[in-house]
Amino acid sequence: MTDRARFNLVAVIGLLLGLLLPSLSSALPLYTARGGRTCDNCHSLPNTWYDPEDFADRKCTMSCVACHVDPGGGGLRNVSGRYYGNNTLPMFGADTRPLVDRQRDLLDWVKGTTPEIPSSQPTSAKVADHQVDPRGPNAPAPTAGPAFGKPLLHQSSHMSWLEGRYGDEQADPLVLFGGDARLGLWAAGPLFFPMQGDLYAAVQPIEHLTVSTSAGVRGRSRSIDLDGGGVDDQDRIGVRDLWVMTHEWPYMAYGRLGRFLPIFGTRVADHTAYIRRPFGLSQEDPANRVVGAEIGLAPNYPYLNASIFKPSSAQARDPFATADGWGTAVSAGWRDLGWQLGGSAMLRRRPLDGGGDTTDLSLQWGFNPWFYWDGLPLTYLGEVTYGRLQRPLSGKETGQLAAYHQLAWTAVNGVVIRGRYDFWDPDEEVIDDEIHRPGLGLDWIPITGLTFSADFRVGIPAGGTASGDLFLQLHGWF
Amino acid sequence: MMRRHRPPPWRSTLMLCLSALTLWGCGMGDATLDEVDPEAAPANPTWSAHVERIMEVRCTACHDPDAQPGEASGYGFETCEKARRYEDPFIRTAIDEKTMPPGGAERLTSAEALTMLRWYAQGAPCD
Repeated sequence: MTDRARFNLVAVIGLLLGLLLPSLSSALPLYTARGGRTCDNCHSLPNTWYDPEDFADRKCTMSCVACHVDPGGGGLRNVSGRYYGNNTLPMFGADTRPLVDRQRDLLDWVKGTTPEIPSSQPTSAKVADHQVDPRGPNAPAPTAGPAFGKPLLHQSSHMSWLEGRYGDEQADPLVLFGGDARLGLWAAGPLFFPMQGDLYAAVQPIEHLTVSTSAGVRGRSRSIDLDGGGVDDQDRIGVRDLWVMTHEWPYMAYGRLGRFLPIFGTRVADHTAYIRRPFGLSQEDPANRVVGAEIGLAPNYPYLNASIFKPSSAQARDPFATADGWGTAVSAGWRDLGWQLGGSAMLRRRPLDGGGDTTDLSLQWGFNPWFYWDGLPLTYLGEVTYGRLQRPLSGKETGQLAAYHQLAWTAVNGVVIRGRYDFWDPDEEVIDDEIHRPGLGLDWIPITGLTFSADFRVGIPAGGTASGDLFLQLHGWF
Repeated sequence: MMRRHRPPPWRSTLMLCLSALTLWGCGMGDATLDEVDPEAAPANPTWSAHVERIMEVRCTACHDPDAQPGEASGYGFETCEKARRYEDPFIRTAIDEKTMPPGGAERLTSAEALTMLRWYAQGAPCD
């Protein structure tokens, strides 16, 4: 690309940002797909990759657990996720690193600066036969990150996150903190979302054992009701997740007990997505949490998760309070470097006034052309979910169908332009109740910990008139 | 005579495949909710038991003058009296044209729309 072309592209992006500022951190699963190009996020020494011959010992995975403490994704980021956020996502301040990812610092990219070749430049395809601390034997212990202390038997497991592999970030702490804070403006109302905050903490007293929790704080929740969440005063502050997990076992296996969101489909960040909320999977709705047990594994590259649970009591102060009924969910598939394919099934048996019986099936897929071709920085995710449910008053059974497609273009580092399409037919027997929702979105991550997002959506109800809206969000995270 | 509609079993599968492959969803169903399941909405809806909740979820976040800065002027649905007064614009925008709630926000469900139509048809009683 010529200098003039670069200048024009940057000017166009600047204009877009000026028009759309600020913006929704969403589509984080796309980062997973992009992870297929950023091998050095985990393999910090490509010339001495530690990818063991034994399949059970491999940790390279494109599943959510690659970056999040919660195997289902979202919330607290582990060291790999923090490292990704520091060194891959932002427009400014990202490390220059080798491999095939786009130049990660905008200024260097505009100037056409040739990336420096750090010591981790791959020199051969040879796979190391032992684990290597890239800092050498006398390097000081990493101290960065909202992390403190060391667990008992620190680094005793070869499946734990390796200290030193992630620069100065503490890889294997005793206590880990994280948070998200969001300000939003829905221009169609207009409605101002004063603040939504999520705080996370995980304590790992001993290797292989972690207790994790997340708490949500919301401003005036009245505006949130627009999405049908029905949040009342009790839910403005409350524990969302609280579970204990044994993990970092061979095949990246884990098991957990407690209150969590069951793993089903793709956990896109937009809680209003039709593949999520209508199926009781909104991460923002306390009523969607369950209390139960879950097991799973995610080696490179298959994955499997299974859970059994009881519905949570949405209005209770006690995070372990349950409602009548039971449920089970299974999710399995393959997340490779350039493509993904998976399926999920979920069964809930509840009294009619508790949501009724549901049976849901989902097919998810993804394709990452960027992995195969440097000149095509696109990532695509798709999902179709069909579910049987009971109508609230009559209890009669019907079906609902939802679809989600998202195409993301990483224009330059820190700028992701998204095209999206949402579809929902809430009742297969009722005519003209479906809605289409195409949209365009922009994520701008100028520096680590700050995301501006803008989403323009058009609601096209069957038998009705289309109308658009604009949702702007400022998102701080650590 | 009440008609009963039940789509053939292959239709869901077909629609599922089309939604996946064409990137554009296909709606199903060939009758109104009142025709396929009249019991899915209350026969005699009341303001406090049924309608007020619908207004809270779908309308008053914007249309309540006390709710937010930048209120949607002209209408308010936070009281039964106001909801009665604005019957015509409500049915036109929320049920016929489906432009409310606007943009990408969820519209009234079929059960909510049927509840509102029945409530208005019965004179919109304020309990």
